Amino acid sequence: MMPTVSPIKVACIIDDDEIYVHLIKKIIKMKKLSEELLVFSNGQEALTYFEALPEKPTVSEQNTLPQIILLDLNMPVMDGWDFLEKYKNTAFSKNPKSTLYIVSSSIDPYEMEKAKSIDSVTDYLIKPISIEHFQTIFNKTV
Amino acid sequence: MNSNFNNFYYKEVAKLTGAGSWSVNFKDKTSMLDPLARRILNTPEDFKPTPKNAMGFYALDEIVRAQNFFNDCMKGIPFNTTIKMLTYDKKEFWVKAAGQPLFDEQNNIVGVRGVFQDVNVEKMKELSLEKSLEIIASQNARLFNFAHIVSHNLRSHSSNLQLTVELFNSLHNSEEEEKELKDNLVSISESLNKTISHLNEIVSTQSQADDDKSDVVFEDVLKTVKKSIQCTLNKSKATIISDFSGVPMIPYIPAYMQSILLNFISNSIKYKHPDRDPIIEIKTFSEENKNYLTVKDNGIGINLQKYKNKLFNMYQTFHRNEDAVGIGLYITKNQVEALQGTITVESVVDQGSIFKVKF
Repeated sequence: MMPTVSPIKVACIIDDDEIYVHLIKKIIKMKKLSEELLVFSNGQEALTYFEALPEKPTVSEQNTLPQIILLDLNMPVMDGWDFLEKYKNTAFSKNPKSTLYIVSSSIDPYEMEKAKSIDSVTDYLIKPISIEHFQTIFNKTV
Repeated sequence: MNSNFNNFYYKEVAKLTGAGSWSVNFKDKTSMLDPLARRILNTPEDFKPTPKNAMGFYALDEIVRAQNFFNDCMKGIPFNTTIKMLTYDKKEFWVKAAGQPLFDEQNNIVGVRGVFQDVNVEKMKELSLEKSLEIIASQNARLFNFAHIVSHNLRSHSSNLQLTVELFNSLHNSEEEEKELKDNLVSISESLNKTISHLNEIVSTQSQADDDKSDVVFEDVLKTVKKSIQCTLNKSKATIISDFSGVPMIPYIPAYMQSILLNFISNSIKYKHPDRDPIIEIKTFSEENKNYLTVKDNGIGINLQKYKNKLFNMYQTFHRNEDAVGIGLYITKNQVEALQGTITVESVVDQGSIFKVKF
């Protein structure tokens, strides 16, 4: 039943809610959804990481890059929207092997609509997301 | 006979609508006000209207507009407007006014003539309605923000709760893992409590606004606030310079004033510059019949270009600062606005901020 090999090598989560991050870590570990998890507690930290990535990664470098990014919206220092605005200019955002999901507890229709209009966003997911749903998303990315 | 017939109806219409008629002839230098116009303008019996004194019947801030209408009329363009006028005894009131060019027998424009109707009662109602609308719109915006907060913050806790429970129910939890999950439950319930107490604080701001105001002496409030955060003040080596000579006291809700000052001062300390001790300057003054309070600090400042719109929203924190909760300024703004005041901010990153409250 349980997959023995993780569908994903590296996942990335950008969220300031420590409890939530902790829970996701557990789920990913328990369900073996990803071998590694990068955690950033706000948009600025994540942006610094993405901007420093090489423009044309080698094959071995490619394996260390996140294949799935879960982005929160409401964060201090740099929120999800400001992050997306800058992220779209990074070389990494054009990487076809990576998908970005907004994961927010906001059910504001304006925000959902806005998310849809951004190219680098694959989907807008509303918290809470069940463990099963996490599995689906991670498996879909492969 | 026809002319008399028309005259009768015109007079009746004028009486019914309360409209006065007037004309100004710049060529003959003559002017006319009919009896109704005289009554509206409250002119004495022997008042003699002339083209020169016509402008004296417009409110000072409307004279330019009135002159433009007259000038346009002289070029053949009629007008139809609402304008503020002055009675003979200099009382301001609103009228609906319409004017047309006045022609002589050769069909040359020689002046302006028209009618005006006292609509002061209606206009005042409209203005007060507009004001209420503004207040309601701002309350509505705050309520919307509030609803958003409730939805967002309660959801994020409930979502964490749900995930924790799901993990609890899934198999293969070691003892250690179960303990971690239990710890999670404790933190979630703590955060939930905190959120609810924040929400309570906001709701009570709105309901206390109806409480009685009393004379609040700034010096006394500052003393109380200083006492309550004596420890923080000493630790941060903060200097507070105050000057309330401009406005020593105002009628206000004492608890609000205390909370407003406390928030500003503790913010200035919380966001002090790492290279210098905080200096906080607090001042009151009055300008154009309004009272102001300013709180100036030499802290790290706020990037207003980036954060101006979010600064006073709830749970917006802009610095990676552990005790930043993002509720202080939201509550301060609510308290100020609940008493029909406004709050503004100026700031330069790395130099400091000035918060200004208009009471």
